[in-house]
Amino acid sequence: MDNKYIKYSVEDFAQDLNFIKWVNNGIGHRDWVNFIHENPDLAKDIESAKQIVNALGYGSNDLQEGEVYESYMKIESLFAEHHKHKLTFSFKQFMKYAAFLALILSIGVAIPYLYFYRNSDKYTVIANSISTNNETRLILSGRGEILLKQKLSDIRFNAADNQIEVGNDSIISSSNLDKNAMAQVIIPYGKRSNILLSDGTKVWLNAGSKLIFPQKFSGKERKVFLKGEAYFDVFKSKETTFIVSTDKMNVSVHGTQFNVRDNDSDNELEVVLVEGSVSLKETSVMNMLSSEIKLKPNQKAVYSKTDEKTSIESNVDVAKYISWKEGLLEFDKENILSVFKKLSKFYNISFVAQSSVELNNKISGKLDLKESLQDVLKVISDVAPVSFRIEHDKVFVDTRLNYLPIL
Amino acid sequence: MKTDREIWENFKSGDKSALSYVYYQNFNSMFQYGMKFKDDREFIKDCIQDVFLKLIQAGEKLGPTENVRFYLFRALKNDIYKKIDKSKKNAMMEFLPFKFDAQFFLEEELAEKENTSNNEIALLKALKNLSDKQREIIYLRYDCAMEYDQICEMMQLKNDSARKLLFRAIKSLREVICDHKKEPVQFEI
Repeated sequence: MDNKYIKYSVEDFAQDLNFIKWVNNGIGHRDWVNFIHENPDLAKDIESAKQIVNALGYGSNDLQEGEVYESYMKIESLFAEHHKHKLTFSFKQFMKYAAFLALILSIGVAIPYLYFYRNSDKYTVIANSISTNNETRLILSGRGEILLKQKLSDIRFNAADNQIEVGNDSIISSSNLDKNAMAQVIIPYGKRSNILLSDGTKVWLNAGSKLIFPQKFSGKERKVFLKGEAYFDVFKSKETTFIVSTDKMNVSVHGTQFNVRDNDSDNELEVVLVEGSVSLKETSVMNMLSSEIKLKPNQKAVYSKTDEKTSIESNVDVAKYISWKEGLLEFDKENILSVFKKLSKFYNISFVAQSSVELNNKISGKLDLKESLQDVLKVISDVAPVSFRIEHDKVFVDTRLNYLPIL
Repeated sequence: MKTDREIWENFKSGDKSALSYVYYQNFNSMFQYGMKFKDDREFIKDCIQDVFLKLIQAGEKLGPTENVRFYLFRALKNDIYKKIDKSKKNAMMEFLPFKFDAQFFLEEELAEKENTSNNEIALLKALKNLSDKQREIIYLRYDCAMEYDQICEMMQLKNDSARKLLFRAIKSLREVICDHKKEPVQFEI
């Protein structure tokens, strides 16, 4: 710690870059704490300077991950044209997985709105599937895109051997896993992926989600961007913080296990902590006003996008929130429509029902999603007054008339 | 860990991963900065794209740099000014000084708050009194962590002018935050 600080006034501190970086980003925290400890007469001045730095924050404008990515894709294609970039790397092993596609300019998804007539009855969609592009996509910046057909794909960024492994046999090797390059995994409805990041962190990425991350982590922060739902088992590192950034929140950890759910279709963002400790901070709010929220194991934080408020629930049954990664769906007095929405995403099939069907019933239980959809629906029809018919790639939901409630 | 200079050289020579790195590392801050000149998302996003396009087209002809973010900020500011200037000429508007129309977060929060304390009112007043130039210096120093020489180049100011402007701003806030007993006053948001 530079001796110059001993003579500093409030104004001097408030404009000093190291001081600013400490107040805003926590850089050099230990040094500053020690400095205050050794110079207690400066504590008040430092506190005033801190208040000034905090007051001089600007609001920021929300920028969605998708916006940056779309903008980037346009630039990258022009970049390629300009440099007549040839993608030169051995790719023969990937022929197994489908054709190699040139980078797509935008990620647009068409959601069909279906409206049926069956005799005189009208069925409307209650839970949507997504019909285009059913493969999991692994996009590597500067190298291209790979389509993965498996329902549960396995991707490993092996920093030690400098290669990216997909499944059991296919490998992309490079002379150097590029630290400056990003990677993106996009999971459609109906699929999931297990990803091992270059630092040893394991990620379970759920259907209908997207994860953007550096191919090789470097520097003081390990930052990934998530849209959708994922479970993280973060590799412990005292020197670097692992940050999961979603549109609304940043979740920071040093090494721990937790689940993050932030879907576009949800009104809430949910973080459930299994082990270790995490802190949450809103992304769009300046440091001073968004307090950091720390979670303890078995706590759940729910951030309401409409109210912009966070609430914490303790002693939650974490199994309920993370069972999806083992292919199990657990619910406790959950609205049956909400269950259909989750099944729709997992199996990538639409649910349609007549308006007369009661969808507000609450059910509890556990479904094994590794079983066929038929078997899963059978279980539901045992505990709720609904019957199912799978026809035309849709699940028709009808009221079950001979329902006897189990008392 | 590659230095800014190395990454820049890679970028110039057509390394796609350097492009993605530079783009992702800087897009958000360029966007935040640009929006303070003109509150128009699509316009600012277009400006950022145009900046990168020009850089790509210049290719090897680009000069070296030790600080990529600073380089991009300067290029962005120039692009925004050119476009705004052009549209002003087209509209035959009188020349107006460029604004740095950024509101401090507290300005919005405190303005909307119902029961503000005297300290909060005084703080709001102090913030409102800050000039556009001061706001821009504050943004570059506090949000972008720029050194004085970079700030001076960005804003075409002499070093001591920039420091004076910033110190004056800080002093006006200090007077509100500390009372005469030199105790820092805590205010609630």
